[in-house]
Amino acid sequence: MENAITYQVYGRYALFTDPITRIGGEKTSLFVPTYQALVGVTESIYWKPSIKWRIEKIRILNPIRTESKGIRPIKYGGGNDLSYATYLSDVSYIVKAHFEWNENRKDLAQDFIEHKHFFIAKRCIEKGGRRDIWLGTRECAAYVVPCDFDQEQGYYDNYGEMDFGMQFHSFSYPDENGEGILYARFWKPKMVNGVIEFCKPEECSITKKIHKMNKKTFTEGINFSGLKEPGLLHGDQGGNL
Amino acid sequence: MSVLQNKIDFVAVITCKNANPNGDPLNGNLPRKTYKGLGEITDVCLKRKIRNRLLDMGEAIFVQSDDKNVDGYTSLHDRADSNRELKAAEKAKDKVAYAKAACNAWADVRSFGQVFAFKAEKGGGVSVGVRGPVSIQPAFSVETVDITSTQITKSVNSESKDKKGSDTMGMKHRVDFGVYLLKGSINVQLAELTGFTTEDANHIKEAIRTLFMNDSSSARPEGSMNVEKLYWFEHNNKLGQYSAAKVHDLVKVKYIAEPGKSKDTLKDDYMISLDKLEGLSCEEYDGI
Repeated sequence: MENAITYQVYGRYALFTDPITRIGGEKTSLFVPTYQALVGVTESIYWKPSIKWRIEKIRILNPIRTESKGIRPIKYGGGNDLSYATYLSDVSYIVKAHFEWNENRKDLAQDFIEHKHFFIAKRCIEKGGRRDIWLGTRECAAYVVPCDFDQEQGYYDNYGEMDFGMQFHSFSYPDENGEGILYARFWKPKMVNGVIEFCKPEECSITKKIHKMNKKTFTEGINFSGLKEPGLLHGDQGGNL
Repeated sequence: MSVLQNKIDFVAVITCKNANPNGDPLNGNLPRKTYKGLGEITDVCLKRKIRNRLLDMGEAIFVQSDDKNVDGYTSLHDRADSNRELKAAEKAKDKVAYAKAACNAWADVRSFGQVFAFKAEKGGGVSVGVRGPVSIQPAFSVETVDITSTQITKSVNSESKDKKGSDTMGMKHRVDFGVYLLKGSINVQLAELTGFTTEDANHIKEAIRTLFMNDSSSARPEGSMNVEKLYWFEHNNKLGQYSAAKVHDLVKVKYIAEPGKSKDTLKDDYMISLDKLEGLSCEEYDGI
């Protein structure tokens, strides 16, 4: 089943908040995107509840640099804070991802049409995504363009290995695990010549239960459509798939 | 009015002459500068100004600043509590109804989204999040900016004292001249979720075109900050004819002044050009 897509995503800034730095309110970015952040970007390009995106690997094209900014967050109950946020600056990544059926969504089995989702995803990459794209937080606006995985030169292409220690990998949401619980998963990423190959979410060595959470229900006609859209199976006009 | 049907991208060219477009609160209120020396106006600063303009137009706004407050509520929490539909949805623990009521009530929630914070409940999340269709990027200057800092003194004490108080000395900073590019998009899929209409889009357009109206202050005297041009690209479908990356790149602003001969005006020192993409229409507006 060839349902993998690759795209380049780039922006001036990125903030993949290290959860440890959230406690004091001074957010600092991890050096590389988390699996979950890339799932978010890919879902902003295209997503339906019948599919789940799996991130295979990422290439880091630009040198990893940070830049701090002073911010003045408004408190919900009135007043404000002052804090520094540390962003990654001038980032560019190439991402390879594929989709799988969400087997916990048997109710949407009639939507398990491989070609449909693959072609829509391809079209959406060419148009820069269905929703606006951002890297980690929404002030870090980014752009998506079609790109082959090895197309661009990268700063770390011949760099060897680089470790980042234990960090957040992804969430396991109730509609994926079918248990009604939200889990956080952790892993130890390793970059080899600019490429990080993600382990599968279920292969993460540490999993932590966060809290109970109900799975969202989708009902056709109320908050789900997409099985009767015209032109669903139209492919890329260039025909170069 | 009907929900927005076509994707929109926009770019505005903003000039700043002898003003502080956006101070950094943790750096003595110096105008924001990136590590590369470019001037920056944050997205939240721009959204604050858009909200103020929408408020001037008579729209209902959730995030009102203290100095432009029109309904007397001093916190977001109080304002949310004042809305009957929101209260009812909160009691019924219906997050979907809560988000919908908030979108109906306030133009800025429909446009930019909002997080409504609650205390943690068992089995549920801790807040209601609305994701808005209008995304505004931070604006950066085309060239590096020079900052002039001046020492200022106050001519009188705030409190009665024998001699001059220590608070009578201060600093003021300004960007000598800078051309900033504001970029953003309006997304149809999210507009459908918040009920953002074509009319709302037109209000946003007018708010950006007149961004610095009614915004003057000692740091930004009348006439020092201007929207010179606004380019409004409306695609002919929901997804967009071209990616935002391509559309935003159509507007190019180049520094053309010879070294040492800069006159610190947009007309003399910079050249604005607008490229075309086949089939994509562009509305071009002058600022006020």
